[in-house]
Amino acid sequence: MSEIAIRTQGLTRDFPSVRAVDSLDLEIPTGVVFGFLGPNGSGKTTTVRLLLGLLEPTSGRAEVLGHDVTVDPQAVRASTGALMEHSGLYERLTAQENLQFFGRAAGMSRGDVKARIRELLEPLDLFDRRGEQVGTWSRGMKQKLAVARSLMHRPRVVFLDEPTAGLDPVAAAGLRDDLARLVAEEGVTVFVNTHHLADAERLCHQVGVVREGRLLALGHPDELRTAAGGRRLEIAGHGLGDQIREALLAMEGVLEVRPENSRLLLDLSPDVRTPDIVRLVMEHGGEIEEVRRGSETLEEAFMSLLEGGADAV
Amino acid sequence: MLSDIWLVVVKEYREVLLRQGGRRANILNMVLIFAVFGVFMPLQTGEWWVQQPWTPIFWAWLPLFLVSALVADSFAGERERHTLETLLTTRLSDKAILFGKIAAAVIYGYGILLAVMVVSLFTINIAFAAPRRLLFYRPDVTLAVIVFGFLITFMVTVIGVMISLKASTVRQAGQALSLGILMLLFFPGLILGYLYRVLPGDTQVRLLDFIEQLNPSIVLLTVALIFVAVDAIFLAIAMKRFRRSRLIDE
Ligand SMILES: Nc1ncnc2c1ncn2[C@@H]1O[C@H](COP(=O)(O)OP(=O)(O)OP(=O)(O)O)[C@@H](O)[C@H]1O
Ligand SMILES: [Mg+2]
Repeated sequence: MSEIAIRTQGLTRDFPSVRAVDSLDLEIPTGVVFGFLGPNGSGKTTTVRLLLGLLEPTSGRAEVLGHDVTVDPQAVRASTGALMEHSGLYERLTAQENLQFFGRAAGMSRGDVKARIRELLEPLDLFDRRGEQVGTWSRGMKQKLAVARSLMHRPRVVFLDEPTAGLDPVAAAGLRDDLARLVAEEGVTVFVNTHHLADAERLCHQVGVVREGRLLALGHPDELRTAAGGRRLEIAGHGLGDQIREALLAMEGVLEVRPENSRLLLDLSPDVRTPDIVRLVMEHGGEIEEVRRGSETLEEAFMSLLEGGADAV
Repeated sequence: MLSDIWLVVVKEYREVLLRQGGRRANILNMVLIFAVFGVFMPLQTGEWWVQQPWTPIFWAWLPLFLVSALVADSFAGERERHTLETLLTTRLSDKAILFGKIAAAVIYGYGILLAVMVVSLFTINIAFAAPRRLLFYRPDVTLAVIVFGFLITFMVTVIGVMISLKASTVRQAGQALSLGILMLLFFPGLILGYLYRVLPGDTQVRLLDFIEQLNPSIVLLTVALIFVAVDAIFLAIAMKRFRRSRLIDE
């Protein structure tokens, strides 16, 4: 059994006009990259602030690495790193001065800071530019530096609040690759907020889908996808006309049949077997080129979770 | 703790005073301060500069202007440039951050005050000293400047930091602080003057007599103690106000 890095129990936070986080129960084992997925205003940032002791919960509790966030927030912050909504870099300082400040602030020795700056910046291709003022850098470079900064003191847990927000697709993909590498190398537990499904697909072992402060679903990205998309079948071929559609609809467990170009999209209840469907189509004179099951993207799964509410997983 | 405070102090200097672009303006400012207060005014005043008992009052308001830019930036600047929240995610304690911000401004303002005093002493001696007789500040004046210079610098800094804590932009903090300093400079005088004028004539005379026969050292000591108390109260308020959970939550 692996240790629990982050645990919340009934964690709730109210603001005057909204309940930003609503009875959140989470258990994230160490070493896991956890994606916290939700649309704007769903309470992701508020959750991270609660976990870092920057906001006080209205009710419920949370622990990070065994430290209660309201009782000993200092201990939590000492053992975690964070990249919040803004990169949080001092733009008037150089990259090196930024990392020095945050490294020293975390209690690292001068020598350690120096070695660590090299270790982190070299693979990010920023080491040679460490003497430049951060304010002159592109957004992508700043964001890479901010990731390095959050990992500077080798925290055991790191919080990343939408790390790829505001980056163009190429820069975002690059950052995702860097993040994946760093996470693997450093063995750090990651809590990443995002509404970019690509972040979750590329990085996360586990995702939680949240809406209006409530956790809707929890699982591996693939599990979420199949859970939301496993009851779907896609048939491509010829002669898939109205007659076949009607025959399929008459079959037990077939909920819906939609024609799309030369394909049929079927929504099925979980107990329907694919071979039975195929046989029925062929019996009615259809020629099948291809059959695909559960081909929904994570994005579709995500959207259907958000639309469907809490019953999905 | 001390090294954490110092870390914040150094960061403040790097960011606010030595920054590119601002650097030249800051150097120019400094040169101007030394030229005016260290050279021009002592030359104008002459030997009296180091002899008259009013010198400390003159010195006392120099730090107000030195400190205000740094102090207005302290928290409002971090907020405006979106670095505050990240600073708050670090291991640094609330106290280390707050004291670091205060120390940065106090060391800067008070340091320049003392440096300008020394420079003006040189100026006076070069310009006016008779052969083989050096001019020096009166000892009581020296002591008063050293003590009151610090207490006033500290007070303005703490008030400024509190204003900056509340303000959403540096500009807003700067404006509120300038207003505060003006009130600080003129209000006590205005109120005392008003109170004095509403007194009946013979009470006025008796009050003046009373003031005249007071022991100046005891008066200064009392005023200094009052300042210490006020500084302590402001510091306590600032520490109470500076809570991480209250900075984000609004
Ligand atoms: N300090 C605050 N005061 C009042 N309401 C707040 C505060 N912070 C957040 N909220 C509200 O709480 C809700 C959740 O906000 P939060 O920023 O946590 O969402 P989010 O999931 O991070 O959104 P986004 O994807 O846009 O970053 C929103 O309705 C927001 O308006
Ligand atoms: Mg957010």
